[in-house]
Amino acid sequence: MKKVLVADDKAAGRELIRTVLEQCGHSVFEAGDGAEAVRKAREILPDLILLDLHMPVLDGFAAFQELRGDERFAATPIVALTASAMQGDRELAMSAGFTGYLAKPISLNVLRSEIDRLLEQETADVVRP
Amino acid sequence: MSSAPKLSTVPRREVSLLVIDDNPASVELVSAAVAQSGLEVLTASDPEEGLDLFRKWRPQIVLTDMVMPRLTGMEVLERIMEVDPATDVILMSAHYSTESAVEAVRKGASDYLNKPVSIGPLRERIAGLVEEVRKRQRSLQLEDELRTNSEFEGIVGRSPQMWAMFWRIRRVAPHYRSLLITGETGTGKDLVARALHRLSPVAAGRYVVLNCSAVVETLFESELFGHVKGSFTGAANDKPGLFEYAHGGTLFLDEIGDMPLATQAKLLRVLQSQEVQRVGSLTARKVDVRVVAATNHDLRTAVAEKRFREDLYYRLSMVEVETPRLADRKEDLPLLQRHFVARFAAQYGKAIRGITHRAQIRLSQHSWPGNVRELENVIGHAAMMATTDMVDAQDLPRYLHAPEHAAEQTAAARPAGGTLAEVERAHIIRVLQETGGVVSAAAIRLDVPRTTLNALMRRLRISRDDL
Repeated sequence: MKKVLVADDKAAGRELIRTVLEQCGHSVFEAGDGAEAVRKAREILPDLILLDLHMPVLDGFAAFQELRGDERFAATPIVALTASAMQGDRELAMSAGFTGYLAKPISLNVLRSEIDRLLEQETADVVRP
Repeated sequence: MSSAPKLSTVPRREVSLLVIDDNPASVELVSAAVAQSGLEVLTASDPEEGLDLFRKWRPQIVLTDMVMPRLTGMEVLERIMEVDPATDVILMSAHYSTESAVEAVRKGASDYLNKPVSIGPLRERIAGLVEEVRKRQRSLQLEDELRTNSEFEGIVGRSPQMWAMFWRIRRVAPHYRSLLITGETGTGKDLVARALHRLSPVAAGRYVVLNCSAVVETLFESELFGHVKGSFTGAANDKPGLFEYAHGGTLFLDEIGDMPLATQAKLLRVLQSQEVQRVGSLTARKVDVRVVAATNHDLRTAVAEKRFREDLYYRLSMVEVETPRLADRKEDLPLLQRHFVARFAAQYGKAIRGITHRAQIRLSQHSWPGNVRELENVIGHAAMMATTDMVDAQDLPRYLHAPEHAAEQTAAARPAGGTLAEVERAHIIRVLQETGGVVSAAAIRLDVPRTTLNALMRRLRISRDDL
């Protein structure tokens, strides 16, 4: 069972991801904004982090910088949640260094397989101190 | 355990897909998307008609529109899940909302697409699902073949640990005179004992079982060695003991750790001399008996604490077979699940085909403190509860519904209070739930003898219905 942190200011969006990932057997933690995401990440040390790009207090990009600056998350996969209506978000996310992105509305199957792929990679490639 | 019951095997068939949409353009789009794939495609413009087709042809993949006359896509999803929860259902809606997507996932949908759906991604999505369906079919078939090739004298397993154990049993069975089986409760020590007997040169002789924890201390010696008339109050006749009864065969002493020290000394003498003396008799009789003893306690600790005779321990443990814990051979879970599903399906006369992916995940996350016996209880329960031909997550006993760590959290958060009896009762029920109702496993966790736990359960009126 892996720990996944989902940061999104919309409760329904977090709920959807939680429901899908819990069915796959993962445990899901939620944050409502970028600052809360950083705080929770430090507390629970998740195996995977999903960040919505547009959030209050600290947006996804800023939260991403903060997390990558912390050596404990140097190798943690961090995925951007982008609104497909916002052209260019995807490119921005990839150039900022996000591990991947998921376009909203999220395809459940893509979500499942992407998460499985990233979590498997994580156990295979990353040796934690 | 008899040989594995035959599975009512599902006929091998091609993958088929059903599209339900009242908009013909949408049906055409889906048909076009899968045209090249060799899929069999069924179409319906009306939800009721779609459900009829589903019941008749049982396609593995269903695409349905959300808004239709008479029945919504959500209702179609519900009806399909009632018939076959293993179906991949994809909902399509022009009015996507995250809330309805959550509801769809809860009800078992595999995907929820936003209309208009473009042909490229749809083709990819379906191709992915078809690949998964084919993979599932292949693995079901493989598991079936493996299951028949993975049984050794009624013991199911193909993990390295089990292969090592089978090899050891085969090696020692022709030669041993006495032998010790160690392993946690529920790991099948009794099956190993029976296998040893069947593979031994005395397979045609009697196989006699004595559970040492169930014998009253004062009657132990009479039970094992017999007695002569008048040797103690109540000994109205001459009676042979189990050793004499098992002459020319095998005597299985389960839970040997519970044998009283005085009896242990006499047992050792019998093992050394191959002679028994009935209680109250002066003459010894020759017996030819192979002795298999089993324990789930650490006998070395018992020896250190002077509860078990060291000389008997060494005599028995010269040949030792250890049964692995289920947690150490989780790769055997799918095989064991299939084995028990087939058995209980036959027992209850239900046509159960297997276990859904969701339910399998729950099973694979559990730590199985009660080992295979716990799994057997769980599948038996689930097979009884199943309303379709697949065992699904909600058919599992309640304690398996949430991941284990969540259960611990709620337990920790539970406020302290109530009478001692209430707290004791609640705690025992919780531990029993965690061990799948296996009392001996619960007793180990609670660090009390099983007999004590049984007495407590009677006093606190704890029954199966409380679990």
